[in-house]
Amino acid sequence: MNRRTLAKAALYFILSVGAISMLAPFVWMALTSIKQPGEVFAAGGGIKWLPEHFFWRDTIVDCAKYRAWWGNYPDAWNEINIPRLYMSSIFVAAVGTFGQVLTSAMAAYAFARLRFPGRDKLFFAYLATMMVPGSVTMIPLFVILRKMHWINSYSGLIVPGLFSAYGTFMLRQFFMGLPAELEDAAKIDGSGYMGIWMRVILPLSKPALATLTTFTFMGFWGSYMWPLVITVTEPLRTLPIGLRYFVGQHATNYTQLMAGSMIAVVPVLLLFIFNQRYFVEGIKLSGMGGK
Amino acid sequence: MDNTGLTRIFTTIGVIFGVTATVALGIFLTSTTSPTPKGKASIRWCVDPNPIRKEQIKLFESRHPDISVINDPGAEPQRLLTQLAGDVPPDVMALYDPQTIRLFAKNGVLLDLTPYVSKYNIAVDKLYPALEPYVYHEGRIVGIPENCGPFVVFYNKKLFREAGVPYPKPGWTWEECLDCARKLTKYKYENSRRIPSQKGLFINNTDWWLLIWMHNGRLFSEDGKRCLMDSPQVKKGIRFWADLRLKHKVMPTASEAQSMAPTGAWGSDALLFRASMVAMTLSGRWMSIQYREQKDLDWDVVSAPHGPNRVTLLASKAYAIPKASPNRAEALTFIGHLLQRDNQLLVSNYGDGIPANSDSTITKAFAYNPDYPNEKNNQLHLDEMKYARVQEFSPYINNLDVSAIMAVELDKMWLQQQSPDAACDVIAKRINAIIRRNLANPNFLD
Repeated sequence: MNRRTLAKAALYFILSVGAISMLAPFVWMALTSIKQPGEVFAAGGGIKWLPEHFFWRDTIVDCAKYRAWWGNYPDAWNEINIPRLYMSSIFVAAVGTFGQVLTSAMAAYAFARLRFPGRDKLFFAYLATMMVPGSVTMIPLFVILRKMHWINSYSGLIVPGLFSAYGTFMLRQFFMGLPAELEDAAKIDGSGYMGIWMRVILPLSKPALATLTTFTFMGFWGSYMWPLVITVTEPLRTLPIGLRYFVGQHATNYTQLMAGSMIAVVPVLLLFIFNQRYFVEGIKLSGMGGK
Repeated sequence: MDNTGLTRIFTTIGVIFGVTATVALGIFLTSTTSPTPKGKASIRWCVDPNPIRKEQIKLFESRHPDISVINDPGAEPQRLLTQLAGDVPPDVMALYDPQTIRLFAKNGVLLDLTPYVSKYNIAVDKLYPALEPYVYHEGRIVGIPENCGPFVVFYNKKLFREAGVPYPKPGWTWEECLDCARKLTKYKYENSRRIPSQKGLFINNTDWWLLIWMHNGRLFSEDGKRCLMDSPQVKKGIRFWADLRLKHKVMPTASEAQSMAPTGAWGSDALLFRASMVAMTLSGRWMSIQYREQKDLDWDVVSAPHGPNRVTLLASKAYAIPKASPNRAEALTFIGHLLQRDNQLLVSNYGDGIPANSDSTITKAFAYNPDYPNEKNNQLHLDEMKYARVQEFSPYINNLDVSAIMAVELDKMWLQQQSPDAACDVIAKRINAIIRRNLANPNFLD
């Protein structure tokens, strides 16, 4: 075995360990979602991974038990009105993601390509907003939104998240790497800034846009504190708030929480699968690998 | 038509469908956001979610059909502060410790409930006297505790039987407890290394209060202007606590708790107790919610052991109404209902803390729950209220500062980098320095 093969084997080993450690919590979540409440934690030590009545451990599949394992899903579904929470989450995440990618792409184009006085200073000032923790701006933002009568509304849930210094920075880095000649050609053909942005820049930036879309969607989808603060009635709540109902002060309903979490991760997984082709490329090209 | 053309058509159809679906969803969601039926007042109850809340709301709404209640999950301080600052307060909110109650009351956030007690039938006179710090601020009623828990010892009966140790009896002493804990601590050998397989006792790192109180120690002077952690009485209690872990080795160290934990890294008292790796833990009745769930766990409770003084720690939470609540009358009706018999029994029978209302019709019904015939010792929780005391705080230092200092210095004690006496001296010095600084600062907001 030559050195190259050994190095490759070592690399694969390290990557496999990384992959397994990333996947392990997901696997535990999936398995816990089909356990009965008493089976979550092992008596006598060791990590309890498998449900006690798992089908391939029993010689006969017991239908009554089978119903009990999957019972966490309908129970969670009914307990916290998952359909409504799901619709709210999808709406907030879809509109928020579209809006944030749109504003970020526009701002990034302006910062990357347009020449105007104070452009770089403005960009750095915008970037500096990333250094201010969200908890610091939460009260002023809440007060502003109250004055706008946006408390407990979808506007209040979505609009504050429509602008992102991170998204702008990421897309700006990508746009700056695009050949200027393409833009020049479009200008010669009579395109204005808007035309260039729509017909040249955006089609060439699919990987970066897909990456930002995935990150932004995940951000909106998993957001907890802001929806908790801004919403005060049940119909506006999103899935992470709904899942909070399974976590009490003294006890947590792990089986239903995990069943609810399994249901909640589906859209993010789907988005990742659809965007995977562009996503990896986008991470590579926009230099965000170390995010 | 070539592939590019087809892709363009499908993309266009996809975009149109996506936009239409999102707009339709938006219209549907925004048109169905009003949760309250017309003619009904709705109050927002901000408290940690719990399966019993739904039952509580159902019970209240059946008694008061003109009021609907929303359980707003999570009374996180950041959330409450933001909503209070933004003038969108909840109608009823849970406050989890007397210092927070005092802070909110002193800053004029909480409604004085005193004038409403008789009109809304709020049974304040029936509350246990030990709960006073959760109820009063400068003589005014500002909070109503719904349930509470004097700390008792939960013990694993099976482990006692296996070790041939008689079950403990109420009123036992720390010496007797230590003797039991020694007999219930077991080791095993793995690769010729001696590692604990079972420990006799577990006391959480923040529940040391009763150990200093039993020697007549106090953390703060009466006026709160001095930390007394360096007093001989407190040092005696802390030394005893440290010895349980470091000298007698009947309590798991942090690393032992982690390594014994059944789920990787969550070595909490409840998990170790449920996994039969700890024979006794000190906690409140709310642990019954978890322990009941595990059918093969044979457990019971006994009073917290006593030293020269018989005393135990008491935990609760209080419900308060913000002054700015838009539904004051309904919120008061709700608070009054929380102390009524049916609600008190609903919550306590679920396994949470004991009823805060000490009325004999409630306590008698609570003492025996036919749904849980094995839990014969509910009366013990009630009896322990005679010895229960709420943890101390000083108005001149934030509890978060106290906890941070305690955590750092006690960690050094557990790591044997400093003796228990030295840890007490350093803690007193650091806390007193902050108190002095706060007292000297005219802008200090206590």
